[in-house]
Amino acid sequence: MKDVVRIAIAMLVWLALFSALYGLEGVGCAAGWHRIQLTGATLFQAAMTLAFFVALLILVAVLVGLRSPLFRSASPFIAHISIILAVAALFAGLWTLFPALAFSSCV
Amino acid sequence: MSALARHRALSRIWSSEPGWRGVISTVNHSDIGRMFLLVASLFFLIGGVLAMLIRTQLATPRSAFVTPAIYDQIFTMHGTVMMFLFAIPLFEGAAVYLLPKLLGTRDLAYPRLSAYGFWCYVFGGLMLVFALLAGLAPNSGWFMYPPLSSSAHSPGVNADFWLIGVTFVEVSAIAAAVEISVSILKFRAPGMSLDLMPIFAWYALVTAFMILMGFPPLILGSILLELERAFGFPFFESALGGSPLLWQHLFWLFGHPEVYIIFLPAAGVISTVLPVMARTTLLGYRWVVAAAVALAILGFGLWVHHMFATGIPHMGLAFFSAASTLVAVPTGIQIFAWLGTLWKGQPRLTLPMLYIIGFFFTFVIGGLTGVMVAIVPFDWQAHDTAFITAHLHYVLFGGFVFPMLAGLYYWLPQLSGRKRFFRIGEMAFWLIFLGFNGAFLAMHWVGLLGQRRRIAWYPEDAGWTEINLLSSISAFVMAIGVAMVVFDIALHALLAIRGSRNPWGAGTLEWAMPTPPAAYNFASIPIVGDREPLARDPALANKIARGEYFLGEPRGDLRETLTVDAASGRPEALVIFPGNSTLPIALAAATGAAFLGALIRVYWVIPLALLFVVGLSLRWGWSQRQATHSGLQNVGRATLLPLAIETDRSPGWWGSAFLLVADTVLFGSLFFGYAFLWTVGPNWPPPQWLSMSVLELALGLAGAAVEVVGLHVARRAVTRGSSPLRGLITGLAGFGMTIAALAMTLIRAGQLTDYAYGATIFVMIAYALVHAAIPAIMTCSLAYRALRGGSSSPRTSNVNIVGLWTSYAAFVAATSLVATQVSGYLT
Repeated sequence: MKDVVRIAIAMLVWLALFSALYGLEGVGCAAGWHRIQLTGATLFQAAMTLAFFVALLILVAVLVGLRSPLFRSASPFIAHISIILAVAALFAGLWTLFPALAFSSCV
Repeated sequence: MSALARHRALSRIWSSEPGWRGVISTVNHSDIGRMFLLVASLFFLIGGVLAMLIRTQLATPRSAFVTPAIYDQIFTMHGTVMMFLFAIPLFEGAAVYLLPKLLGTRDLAYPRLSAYGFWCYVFGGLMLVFALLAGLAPNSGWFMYPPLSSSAHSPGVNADFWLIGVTFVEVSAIAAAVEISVSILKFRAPGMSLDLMPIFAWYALVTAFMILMGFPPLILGSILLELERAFGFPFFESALGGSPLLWQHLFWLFGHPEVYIIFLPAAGVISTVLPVMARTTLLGYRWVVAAAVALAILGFGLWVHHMFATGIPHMGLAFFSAASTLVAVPTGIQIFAWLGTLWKGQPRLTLPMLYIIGFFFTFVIGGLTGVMVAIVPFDWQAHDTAFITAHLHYVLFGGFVFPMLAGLYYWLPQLSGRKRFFRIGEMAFWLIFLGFNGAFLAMHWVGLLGQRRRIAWYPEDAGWTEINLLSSISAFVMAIGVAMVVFDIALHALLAIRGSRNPWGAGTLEWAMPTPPAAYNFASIPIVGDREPLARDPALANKIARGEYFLGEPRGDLRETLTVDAASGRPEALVIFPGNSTLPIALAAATGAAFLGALIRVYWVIPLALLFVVGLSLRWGWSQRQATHSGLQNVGRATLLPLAIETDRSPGWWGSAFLLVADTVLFGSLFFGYAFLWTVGPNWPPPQWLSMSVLELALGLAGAAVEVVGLHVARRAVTRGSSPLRGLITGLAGFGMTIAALAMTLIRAGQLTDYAYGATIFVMIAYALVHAAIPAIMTCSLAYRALRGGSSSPRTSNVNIVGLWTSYAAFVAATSLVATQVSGYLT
């Protein structure tokens, strides 16, 4: 069953991070973070930007982990699919989470 | 033993009872699969008739064919029937029938669960059919948005039929998903490692996981909406701290994955049939598997794209717009893999191939319009117009019905053992293909001209008359095509002559058996070393029949098969299946009585029915077939394996684990709802928070710890061969403490109808209470068995299963208590 986890884990992590950033956006807007000014940005923008980079870092870590001998499957088939999906998850993170950097807050 | 004698012995062991009793007592996957396919097809015809009524109404402006009130019921039931009573059950039927044959085993993991799921589906479907015939059918649209579906705007039982009937049918889907997941991972031919699995099994596995994760949010939403309608719990009422948008989130958390739940099995059929028709192997097997997994999980990140018009902030819109465009990538990988397969093979234009070509044409158009509506500004223009209806039909009819018709004609010789000789199917294809495209291309057009979906009539001067007439005429042409398919299949069943065993020259195991298949599938369970074992060894079927592989010598009246290691396919244990039984239909009837009690609001029926459910479930657990002796068993080929029931991780444990995955998603959805109302819901915070009780919190948390420890002690005792009674009694004490703490919190939950906060706390604690009661009953049963001793004594697997449920119950109780008791301190 560990091989099934290896296959699914990267995309599931993407799903969790995607949901988390969407949730963070809701929490931030509800709490009025976009009205709190930090140096050069609002608290909302700072939180979303930080969350974006942390999310990418986590997805890179999953990719590195699945390539490492510690977590890599002994089956070449599973190892290959899990790495394809980890790369896909990283690209999915970049593509679907970039609005955290680019879009206006809470409007 | 000769092949004929083996066939006779195995047929006697595995066959259903003769006559009508066989229908209600069969647990054989071939029977259940055929019954699923038949009933789902009947629902397809019902849904199709409703579609024709819709097109008749819209064929002319200001039509008086049916009243708007009846029209509302018709379009609601058309969507409901097609989604819940046709598409998902057809996949379940195909998977139940095909998987053991493709995987090289004799039955699915839980034969009685297959039958239970089937009967839940039938009874739930009958509820909805009754509502339709009685003029009480749901009428708020297939996605039942409140406040339209709330009791204020939809009085009467119409909406209740949907909420309760569909939830009942979803029990069947969850049962099938657990069944399919465990069967694919554990019940395969020895040697069939994950990389050698037939591609359809991969798709079915991914789909089953999607059902486990996708259906619970809708089950929760339906429960909450029914509680609101029946008792006034204001989950979706803005004035009282609820939000109608919460329903939309819960519905589309299910609804969007549902699209892929429908498409992926069909893609599995394409990936299986197309290479055979092209006389080659599937190009890019690994990439196709990866694309299916990626598509499935991406599908869970798109739900808000159905809510673009609800006033969500731009950043949120952009998240979901980006995710929606991204799904085109794994879909494209599969399309190109199929095209590449055609390129490298030698395609032949058979009837299944015609339907595959029809699929390519329609599904690609549906996919492209999908990318269009993923773009927010376009979606705002097209939202709730006939363009959207046309798009979803291109995706669902093109992406599901065409491939399933290809699959029907591909596996028909396997199912019947006969040879198709009329050409009606080819004529039917062209009528369906041309009719479908005429009907729905026109619908795109009229949608872009501004026609709203779900309207009962339109004015003469709107400029839509000719387009609607064209669409309706085309829809009737398509309906004639579908009727010809039915006629063709009936003729095939009645008149066709016997055919050869493997008419397409396929390489997968379902063709390595006599057709129509025997009840036991394989006279001996083959060893597999290739993705297409029959292509590698054409004599395989004869070797299987001669009993050259595992379990080739029938023992007594035992229905035997093997489980394997999920990754490598190494044989692990011997499984003894239960025989024919009326328990599944009785349990489904008792479950149905509980749902019926809720529907007709005769609430005393519910606890009574649940008592029957508990009693029958306990009997179910106790009536497992046993081997004559415990210990290692000879399974043939000089191999000794333990009984599955004597292993740590029996099939029952895996089934419980997968069921708890679905349960966890439901619990997570409940938490999501709580957090959503807290952060986004209007009129929050509530006037009064639940005060914290140290006694309730301490008692509940201590009880959760004690029950887990108790079951752990019991598990260790059974492993050592001593009595688990002391651990079980400790566990029961823990359950008592937890239940007491939860009951005290429940009583203090406050005025449930005054505010959504109190109602949410009530549901959360009630959920924890139910989940404490389930393992408590299981523990009582184990304690009773331990007291009786002898052959009744609990096995390792029994205690492990209860331990798993106990751990989950402890987690739920602790989380619920903390989340509700400290809520006042989090503001």
